[in-house]
Amino acid sequence: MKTILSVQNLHKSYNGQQVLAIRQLSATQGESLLLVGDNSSGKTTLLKILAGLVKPDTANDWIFNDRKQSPTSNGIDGAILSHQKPFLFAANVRENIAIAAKNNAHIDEAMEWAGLADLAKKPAKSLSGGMQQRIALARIRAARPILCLLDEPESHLDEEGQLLIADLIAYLQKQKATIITAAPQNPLNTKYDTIWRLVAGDLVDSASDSATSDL
Amino acid sequence: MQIYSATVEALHLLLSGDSVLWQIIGTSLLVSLSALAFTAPIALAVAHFLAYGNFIGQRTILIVLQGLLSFPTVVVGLLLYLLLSRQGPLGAWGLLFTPTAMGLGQSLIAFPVLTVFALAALQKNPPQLRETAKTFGNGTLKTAWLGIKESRFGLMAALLAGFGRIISEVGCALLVGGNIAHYTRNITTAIALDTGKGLFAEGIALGVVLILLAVTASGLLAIVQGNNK
Repeated sequence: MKTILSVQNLHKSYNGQQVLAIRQLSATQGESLLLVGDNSSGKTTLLKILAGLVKPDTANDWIFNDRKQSPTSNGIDGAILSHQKPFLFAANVRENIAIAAKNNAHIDEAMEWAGLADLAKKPAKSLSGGMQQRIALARIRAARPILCLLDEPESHLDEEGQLLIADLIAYLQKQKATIITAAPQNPLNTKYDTIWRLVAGDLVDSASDSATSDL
Repeated sequence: MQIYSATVEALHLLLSGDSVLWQIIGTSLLVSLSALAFTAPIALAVAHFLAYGNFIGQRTILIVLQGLLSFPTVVVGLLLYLLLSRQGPLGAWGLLFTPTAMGLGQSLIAFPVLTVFALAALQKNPPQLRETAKTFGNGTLKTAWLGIKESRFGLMAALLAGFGRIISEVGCALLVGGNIAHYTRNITTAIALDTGKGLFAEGIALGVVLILLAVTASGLLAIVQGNNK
């Protein structure tokens, strides 16, 4: 499988305090990765940097989707971040999904998949928590990302939502998307190709306890 | 008793469609709404820049704008008078004692109010809003527009606050407008003149209109906010 993402010496500090000091990371197309780490270990910061929403202090030889990537806070085409608690706009269901989609066919397919077709015109924020979760997941599906960064996706999901996200991840993998999921610990019921552990700002392979640069 | 009879006469003047009175009201609305329409986009752009920009002097600009919220309108009028008077640097424009000069003055008065209120409205949006817009491939303008849509009620409150400040100000309008009958006489300058001449009915009638405008604006906001729930 080809490498879809690679970067070296990725550093980020806030107010003089170092949050990330990653020597090297890389992910291949279609790979499913789990990023584990304690609270405040920098998982969300790392996901935001990889999504192009937070600028790192340094990032050498950053390649994404065969293109050299510069630090940005304006987003990176093809990379999407799903927040721990996804944000929905004060708009109807379809408009919320349309924000992510490139064409109508993708919107319709995602709405059908999430069982939202009959609620297209309903204000998204007026729906139940479960339905709002569905909108957020449908939005990811409609975006058809190359790199999907999920920040603790199961923390606010009910059982139905968890089934839906498992289905979404399977779909994204079929589409050859790379998925990086952040979680406080390794969930027992989900299989990942690779596990990254964030320790003292650097990535450590969970199985061997060696830095990913040594992999 | 004088107040009672003056009020009755004032209502009669209003309801009978007194042309002089309604022309004064028209001038007030035209000048203030034009000033608001001119200033609002600029204030919104500056508020957006202050909310999401990252540059040196950002805090200083905000402090200055907050200080200008309570800047005396008569001083704004004085400064504008000096600029627009025949000997002033902008004297060649020939704007002094015109509705345009009044609109310029009201724009200057409204600017800090609109900017500070708009900034507060934009800052209420969670950071996830812009991150979500950007991560799904929306550009700078679309992201800004989504933020504005999300803050629409706060931004409407900003417009109402700005409107309230300029429709009721008298000092600047009097200085740069000159209170010329059928031309630059607006509600507040007319009230000042009528009261000075002892024409209380006209003054009260215009005062009633001012209050009605304020109540209508607040009512409209309440209706819009109610519809959103």
